[in-house]
Amino acid sequence: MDEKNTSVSGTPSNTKFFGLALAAALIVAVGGFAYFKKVDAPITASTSTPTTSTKENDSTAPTSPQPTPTPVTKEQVETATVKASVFKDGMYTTQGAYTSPAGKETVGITLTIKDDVIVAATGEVLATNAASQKFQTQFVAGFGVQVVGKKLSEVSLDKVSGSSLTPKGFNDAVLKIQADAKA
Amino acid sequence: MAASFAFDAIGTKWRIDIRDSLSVEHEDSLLEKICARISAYDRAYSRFRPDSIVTHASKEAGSYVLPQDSEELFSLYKKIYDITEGKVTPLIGDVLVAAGYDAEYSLTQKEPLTPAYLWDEVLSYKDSVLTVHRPTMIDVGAAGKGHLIDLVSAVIEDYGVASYVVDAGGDIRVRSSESTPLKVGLENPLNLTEVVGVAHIVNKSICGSAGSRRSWGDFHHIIDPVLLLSPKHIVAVWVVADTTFLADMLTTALFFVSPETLSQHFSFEWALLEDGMNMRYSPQFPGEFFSAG
Repeated sequence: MDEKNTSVSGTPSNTKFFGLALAAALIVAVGGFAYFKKVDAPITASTSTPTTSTKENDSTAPTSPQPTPTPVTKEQVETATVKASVFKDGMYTTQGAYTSPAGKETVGITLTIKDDVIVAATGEVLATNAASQKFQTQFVAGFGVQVVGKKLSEVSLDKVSGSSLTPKGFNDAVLKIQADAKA
Repeated sequence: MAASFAFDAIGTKWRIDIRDSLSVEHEDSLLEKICARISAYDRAYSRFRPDSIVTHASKEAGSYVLPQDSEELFSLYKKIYDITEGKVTPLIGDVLVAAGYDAEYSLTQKEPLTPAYLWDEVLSYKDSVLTVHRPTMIDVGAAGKGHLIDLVSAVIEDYGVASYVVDAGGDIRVRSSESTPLKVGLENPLNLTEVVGVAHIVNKSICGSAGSRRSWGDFHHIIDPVLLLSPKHIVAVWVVADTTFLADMLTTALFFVSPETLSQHFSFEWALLEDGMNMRYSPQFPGEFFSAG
């Protein structure tokens, strides 16, 4: 699949880093899946409390999930995901341990799986060393989530932000939709 | 008695909610002072007004005395100019006008675009005096609205008000003695009847910017001063920061440089909606996103 190249002035290094970070998350997800625990809490950027365990493939799991970013091609990731097509939908969280030059560190990772696809990946900085904290912050900053729109009428809001300097404010749109809904 | 003011100014809708008690007399005089504050800012910096200082500077080289608030305005602009290597610049005015984003909103490109002047080539600023070495259109659109929201808020606070919300077209400053967050929907730029998430704002400001809005031809309201193209890789961006001024400036800067780079200089939270509805965000962004899962 060709990647659309519409970026005219972006920061390629950042895009690349995001790819690496996500690839690393996928390796952790697939390789170390046994270490992920299902979480019933709602999605947030920093959820990491393990609750009930839903281990699926104990025998294939490595002893320590390595969060080191490693380049992986898209094909490899997809194949690996398809092979392990037994994941229950839900949110999984773990702490990945690794040894940095400053000593042992951990990083928190939460994945949301639906139909054997990772639909969201978030990270939590858990490092104690300053340099590790910086690297982990960059690592988790690369995480993203596929979002969908929800109708204004479905969400309880005080305000809406997004359309800079647009004369017809969205507060009006909210009011109109609410008025229409009541009519 | 709590009060609410709603009015149109600087091309957008304002809504100010005062949650503390105000006497009716104070209410009236506060609204008057707010309108005077906005008007003073507009007279100095609006490139859409024929009588503004920046419009004069676009016609004739020379030194112009700006209001005192220009100190922090040009100071932050210079800082962001250096960090973004000239991508965020008040000298984008001539480019915007040539591309059609002019005082008449012609939205028709008038001439081939030429790169914006470099800061040191044409601008110097010291102690509220702006000198343009040749006629050039200054545009403070990257941060002017956020700056003005903070200046209006200072007027409100002068009345002893501690709890209020100032909303100018979706750029919002919240101050409150209570910790209940203001729930601010993150508008889906591809469908204006939808939001893709909710930010929870307590004693901070949030600003948003979307490339799909205010667009014409191949351009939208942000244009690269060197490449002379509008960045298309980001669909929308939101920034939460201590001041609206900073939040507003950083939304524009994020179209040009990475959040990691900006994080080395400023304290803020960010969310970037990229092509394909992928939302990237800072780990501590105060809010939630509606995931496709």
